[in-house]
Amino acid sequence: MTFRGWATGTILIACAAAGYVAFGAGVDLLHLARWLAARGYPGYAAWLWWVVLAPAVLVSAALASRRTPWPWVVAVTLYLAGLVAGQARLAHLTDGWTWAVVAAAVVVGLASIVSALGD
Amino acid sequence: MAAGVLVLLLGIGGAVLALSGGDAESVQEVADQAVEAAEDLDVDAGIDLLCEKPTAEQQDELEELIEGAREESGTDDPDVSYEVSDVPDGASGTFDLRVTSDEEGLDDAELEVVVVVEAQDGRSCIAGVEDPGNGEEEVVGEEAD
Repeated sequence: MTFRGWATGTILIACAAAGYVAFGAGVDLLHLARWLAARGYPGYAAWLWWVVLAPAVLVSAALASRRTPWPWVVAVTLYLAGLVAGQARLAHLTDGWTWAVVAAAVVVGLASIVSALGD
Repeated sequence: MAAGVLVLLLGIGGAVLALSGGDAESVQEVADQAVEAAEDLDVDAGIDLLCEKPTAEQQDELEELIEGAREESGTDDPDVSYEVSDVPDGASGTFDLRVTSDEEGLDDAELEVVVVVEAQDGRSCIAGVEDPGNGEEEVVGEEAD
């Protein structure tokens, strides 16, 4: 599959993860992010925002990667790092299937990096 | 390159797991850690202690309780005491929690709850909070719905 295919898959999974955190996880995102920041937990607040905004960042990176693969490689690495860290920390509080989404995101994301560097 | 990223991801996952607080393994440990978490409003400890994530409604209730206590006492950080009793041996069971305060405006207020501790996947965690009066359980998490 081409870079375009893997990149689209990566962005779609990122949208699913963002949608889950924003709407499916039973949290009031704005409220929770502000609450965490105010209580001295900017790390958790930043993580929430990053997962939700990652699809937009990935789309920008894909558009910026026409000449050089590096914007994409960096964006996907940061995005996957956020997902993996979140899953490792919050696994017992999330629905049981979220690890499968994270695993799929990692596989598709790594494939997109391989194809980005190969093109 | 992709292999490097994979190693990095595995490292991050492993590091987060290693840095996460140790799991409680008995009702006593849960009770001790819960009091510490409540005193400091420690989100990290809260994440470690709960069996399931609280619902949005439960988050609101907690927030209202905190806001209410602040307003009544007129201070941002009201001095609250937590008294734990009836802690059973073992990895699961219930313990009583009594919350009181000497702050002016709060000295009449008192909150008594029964905290339900369950053992899940080798760790003891807070599964819910009961009203001691009617024995009706309010489960933390989606089971409450």
